[in-house]
This record gives sequence, C-alpha cells and structure tokens, in this order.
Amino acid sequence: MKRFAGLRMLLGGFAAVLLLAGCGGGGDTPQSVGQSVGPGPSGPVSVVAWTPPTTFNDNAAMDPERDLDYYEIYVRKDPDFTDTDQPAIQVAAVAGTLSPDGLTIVRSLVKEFTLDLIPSLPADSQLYISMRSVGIDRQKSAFMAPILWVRS
Amino acid sequence: MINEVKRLLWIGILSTLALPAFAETRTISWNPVTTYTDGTPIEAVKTVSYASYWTTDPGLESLTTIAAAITATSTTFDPGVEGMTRGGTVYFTAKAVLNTGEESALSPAISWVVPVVTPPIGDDSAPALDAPKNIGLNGPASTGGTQVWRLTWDPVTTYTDAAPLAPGRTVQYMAYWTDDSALSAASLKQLSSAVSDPALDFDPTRQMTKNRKTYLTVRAILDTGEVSPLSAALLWVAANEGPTAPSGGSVKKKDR
Repeated sequence: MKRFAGLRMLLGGFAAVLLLAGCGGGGDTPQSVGQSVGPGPSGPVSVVAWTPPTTFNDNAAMDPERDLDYYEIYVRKDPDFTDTDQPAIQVAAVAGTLSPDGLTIVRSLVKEFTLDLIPSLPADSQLYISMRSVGIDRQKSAFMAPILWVRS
Repeated sequence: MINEVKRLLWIGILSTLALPAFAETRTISWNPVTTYTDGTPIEAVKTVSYASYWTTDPGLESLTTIAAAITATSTTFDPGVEGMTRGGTVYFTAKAVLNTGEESALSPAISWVVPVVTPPIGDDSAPALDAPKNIGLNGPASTGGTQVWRLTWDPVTTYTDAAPLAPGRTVQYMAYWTDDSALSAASLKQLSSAVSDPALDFDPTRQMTKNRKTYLTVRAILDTGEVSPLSAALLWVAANEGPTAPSGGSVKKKDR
C-alpha cells in the first residue's frame, strides 16, 4: 500500500510527514520537504488531540486502523479553512511501536500530535487548527471544526 | 420436456499435460449424468452425450464450445488455441443431451485462471519475475454516473533475486479483485485485460459490492510468458464514500 512511505518518519510514536509551512492562507505551494523539526528547548508543548472517524460519509462503518492512511493538519490565522488550503503537515493514521519485549510492532491509532513540530509556524499568538482524514484511496474528508490554538 | 435431465453435479479441471513451447493441453471433466432431476434413472435405451463450453462471462453468456456431442465425461483443450487470455479468468460449464433431444440445464460455472506459462521442466531453480509492489489507489477521478478509480503500482524491472530484466523485455500487468483474503486463484476476478502501464482505471460499481471489503492485487507478465506471483493485496472498502472528518478536536498543553 502506498502510504507516502518515503516521506514518513517516526516521531516518538507518531509517523509524520513534514510538508510545508503554508500557514495563514490557502493556495501556498510546499516550501520544503524534510526531516522533523524538534520542539523548543524547554517548557510545555501544544498538542492537538482528536477522535478518529469510524464512518464513511454515507454512514457505513469504517475501520480507521484499516481504512485511513493519514490526517492532514491545517493551520490558519482565521477559522475559514477552504479546499485550496495546503496542509501544514501530514500525520499517519496508525503508528507502529515496538512491544516491550522488542520483538513485535504494535499498531495503534494516532490520536494526537505536537503542534510545535510543525515547521515555520507564524509567530501569531493565536492560530486556528483543523484537520482532514485521508483514506487509503486518497479520499479526503471535510474539515474538522476549527479549534483555536492560543499560544503563550 | 417431461423430465429434465439432471444437472451435472461436478465439473473441474482434472489434469494438465504440458507440451513443448507453450503449447499445452488441459483436461476438463465432469460426473456422468445418469438420472433425471426427479431422481428417475435415464432409460437404458437412451444415450447421453455432453457439450462443454467456456466463457469469460460469469453469467455464462456468449458460450464458446469446447466439445459437443461427446459421450466421454472429459475433454481436452489448449487455452492458446481456444483464445483464452493468459492470466485471465474463464468459466467452464457443460450440459448433458439425450439422443431424444432432452437437455439438462447448464452446470454451475467453474472459474479458472488461465496460466500464463507452463513452467519449463527442469527450470525450477530460475528466479521468478518479481511481483508488483506498492499498490495504491486513488479516486474517484470523476463523479456522477461513472466512478473511475486508478490503481497504481511500481513497474516491475527485476526478478526476485534483484537481477534486472534483460534489455528489450516488456512487461504487462493483470489486475484482479477478490473478496477472498487468501487471494485464491479461483476467486480472482479481472479488473480489465492486461495493461502495459503500471496503472489501471476501473469503475468499481460495475463489478464490486459497494462498501464491501475487497482485495486488489496485480501480477506482472513478461513477454516471454513468465508470470510473477501476485502482489501484496490492497484491502479496500469498495467504492466507499470517503471518510468523515476527525471529531472532538482540542489543543492542550503537555509537558515534554
């Protein structure tokens, strides 16, 4: 299955793709594709958390572990997310972590992501976050209801 | 017709006889028919003959006759002579005919994936053609009455031992779908005829059951007739309407 394997990386249990920092408006082209950017040197981090979807748009049951490929996280200075916006980052829907004995890989649904890992975030004290689910067939969901991120 | 001749109960590919240079003979056989549908034995004065057919239509339309009016309960055929597509799925059926003109219904179809090549004797150690990898799916490319999805995969350029294909060799691909997680040969259904590009557009609504778990797989076929194993299957909920969005989003502070 193609899951952008070449672009993904494991980040403390998350598999993430750093695509771009197109923030504050839609239609930006990707600025960079690269490695992870570590969080700041000290203090708490901001984490976006969500509940994975369990249905398709026709209400048919969906298994997010099987049917979802990744999420797109969007960042804007306002809550008006549109289809022309570019995702700030992609986060794998399922992460694999080593079992305690180190012999097997345990798959689990990804339900949160550290926002500070997104590269080139604007310096604004308030930003809006939204997300879309992307299926293994590349179908994208609508935007999740925007949430305000107050940075301090 | 007073009595319908009993349906043939079993039909199958019994044996294979490989002949040189890709010619081959396959045998299809069936159980003899000895009774009518009500269990009454067919009268001794009547003789039973058989006709066997193949088709690419699982609905058993457009039958091509393999043999007719034979009294034996088997017949042989050459897939190449019959014009069967290598790597494709065909369906066999047969019926019984009495000398009085009474006919049975067609037997239930049996599906068969036409082998792409008969392995040369003594060449078991040769590396196999590598299977397609990185099967991906993207769609729908259009909306409305027709849904077009694109299945893609990495082109096959090597054998399983990583040796590259000889220059000038060409590869075709056959894509299948099935409900069977084991990808059993009998369950595979062609998405289309063989394609040269590592991509295939298809309309799932014409073949598959919407929102049903479906396995998609591809095999490569070299111009020499060599065939690869099936690729790892892509499990897909056929023609699904797309995921809903995540819910319950929140941002919280967390210690590093």
